[in-house]
Amino acid sequence: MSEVPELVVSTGLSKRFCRSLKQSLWHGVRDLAAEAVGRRSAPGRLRQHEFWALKDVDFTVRRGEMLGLVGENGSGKSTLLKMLNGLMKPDGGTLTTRGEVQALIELGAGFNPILSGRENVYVNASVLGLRKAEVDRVFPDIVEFAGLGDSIDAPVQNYSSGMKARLGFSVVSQLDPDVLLIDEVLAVGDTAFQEKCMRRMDALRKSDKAIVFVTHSLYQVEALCDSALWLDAGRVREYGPAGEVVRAYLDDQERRAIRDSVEEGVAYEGRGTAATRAFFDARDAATDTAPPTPHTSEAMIIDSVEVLSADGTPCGELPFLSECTIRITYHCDRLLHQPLFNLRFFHHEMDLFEVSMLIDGPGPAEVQGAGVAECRIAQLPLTPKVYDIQMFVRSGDGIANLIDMRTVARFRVTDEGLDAVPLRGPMAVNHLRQGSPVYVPRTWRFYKEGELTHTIEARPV
Amino acid sequence: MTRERIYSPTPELRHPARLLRDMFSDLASSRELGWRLFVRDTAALYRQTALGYFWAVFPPLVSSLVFILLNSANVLNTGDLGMPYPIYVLMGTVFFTLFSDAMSAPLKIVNASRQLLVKVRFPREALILAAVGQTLLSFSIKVALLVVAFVLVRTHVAPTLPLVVIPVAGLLLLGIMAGVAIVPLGALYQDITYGLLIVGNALMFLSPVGFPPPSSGLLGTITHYNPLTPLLLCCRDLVVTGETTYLAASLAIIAVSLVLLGLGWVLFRLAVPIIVERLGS
Repeated sequence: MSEVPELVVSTGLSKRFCRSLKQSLWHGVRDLAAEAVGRRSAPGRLRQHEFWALKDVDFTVRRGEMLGLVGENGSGKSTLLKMLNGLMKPDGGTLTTRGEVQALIELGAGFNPILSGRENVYVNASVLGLRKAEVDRVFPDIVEFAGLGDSIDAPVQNYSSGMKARLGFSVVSQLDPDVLLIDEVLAVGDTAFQEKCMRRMDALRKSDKAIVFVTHSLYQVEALCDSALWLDAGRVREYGPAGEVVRAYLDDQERRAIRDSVEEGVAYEGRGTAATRAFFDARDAATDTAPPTPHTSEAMIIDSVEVLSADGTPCGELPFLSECTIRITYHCDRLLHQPLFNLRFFHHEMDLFEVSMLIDGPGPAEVQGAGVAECRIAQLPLTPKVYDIQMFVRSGDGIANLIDMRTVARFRVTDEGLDAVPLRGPMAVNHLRQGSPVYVPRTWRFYKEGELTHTIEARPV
Repeated sequence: MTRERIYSPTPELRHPARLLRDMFSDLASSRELGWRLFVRDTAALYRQTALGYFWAVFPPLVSSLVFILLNSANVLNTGDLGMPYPIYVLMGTVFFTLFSDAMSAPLKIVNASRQLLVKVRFPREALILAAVGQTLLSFSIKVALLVVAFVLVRTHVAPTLPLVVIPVAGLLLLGIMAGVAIVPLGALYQDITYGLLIVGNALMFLSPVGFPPPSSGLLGTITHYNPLTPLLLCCRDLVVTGETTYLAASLAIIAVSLVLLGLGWVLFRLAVPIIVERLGS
């Protein structure tokens, strides 16, 4: 791999921006004055109202490699792309690009609304460095790719935003750079056009270019990119193989969403008793997987509820389809007859399934003092996500609540063990992660003229 | 060999050879784009108007009519001009507008191309070339107006007419030089755009446009040191009277403008990345 030439090398790349417009303009004047006398303006430090839009960003893109940039809005993705395109100077570090660099940055930039699509194609192509003769040659392809037909001679102001975007992409798709920069282009256009773009990008990648791709579609990053760079507030959080970075990013997003919803008390409002919120508050103040605070009733005191992994250690994370045990430690002062423990599994507010002694049968005849109840699930049928367990305890006749229902534990199913099931294509992992929470082993059968022709056994091995 | 670009915080002036090489290679590659942008802007300029190219001749026509009105009321003290007053003032406004158009065109096109500047890398010199093209096109339409006026008023042109390209080049260069020089500040602060309008209007009265340069007083002093004065007077002389004492001054102004334009060009290149990062997306 190392002999493949590096077309983009970023070392300690940093860029500062200013939050205040007035201040930013003034810094600009000073930067210009410094440049005009061949000096650097305030090197390596932030001035008033400034922040690092990018800080110490290191990465390389080799020929034939596609790098996906992921991160929230304002994390520095577009800034990085602009610097790659040579539109802005770094304030620290160096950025080296080799060969022709072209950007597909927000389509239709420079379209003049009064002019026709045809006239705009020539101008746009010229801006992108194509000569008229070259445009003449590829013009039919451009119109064909954009699927505009006769509309090519109508003024661009009569185009829909989708038509404009298609035309813009079509012009750029005719370019043949060494390094291609792509920013959020596939968010526009209909599904058929998006697929066209994806195929074109895949073809470009296979034709030995280096591509840097910014998108919010993690599916696309995982499906198309070799590596990914996750930017968080201008700094690199993760950099490596696309699948790993995407998963780490998704994990983080999920954690954040849960934390935000708990902070706002929004998502849990439905079952948001004061006790539930207190539980979340207390637990979140500690760590993601801290044991819940004990709760009590006159009849019973629950000391702890723990999620145990296959080897019996309490944990907050479980591999996919692994064995899991819920251990309830309790004590009761008075004698209880056949108390019935019930556990319900939730994802966000979705009630997924229940394990209940109301169904499974009575427990020990007499319970008094300290004790432990364990429920073992041989293969937890949950896909990689975060789950809550709610528990309630009923009297032996099933009528009286000894312990009211409340959230007692939270755990996460991780990607570990995903290889236990046959996955189809690069999208499968994310489909499993983002799709339905419950995984049910199943069998597919295909028949032709009454004959069984094909079978898929989708179950863990 | 593939082109390698290294971006770092080091000021570009520390590598003057590289800077000059990039400047001229960008200038060379911006000719076709400059032409395209010029064609685009020309095509779009009057497409959504009913009167079309009439709008190119309307401003100097109105200015001239105002001067003619003032003169007929004896407000202006013009004395003997050696040519009919309408011809005098129309030539003044047309040649002056060449300068003022050239001065405002670079900033105008840079502001109009913000979307493009912040998103696409292209030789920025193309914008200046397109601005020059726009200015020249607008000027040639106004020259047609002059021709009509000469025919109507039955004024003869002098045999020195072809030499008029010298002061015309001076007006164009002086204007473009000033226009390029103000782009770095003008793209950052809109004050410059507002100020430019006022300066343009004021300059018209501080130059020999509607009346000959006064020989005394503050206005006389200002007009004397105004570089537009010799250029405008030279234009009129070469077109109508055939005798001028301003040719040397015009050539000197061209030389100085060229040098300053070179410096302005460097400043413009240094400024573009700084402007782009402040224009947002």
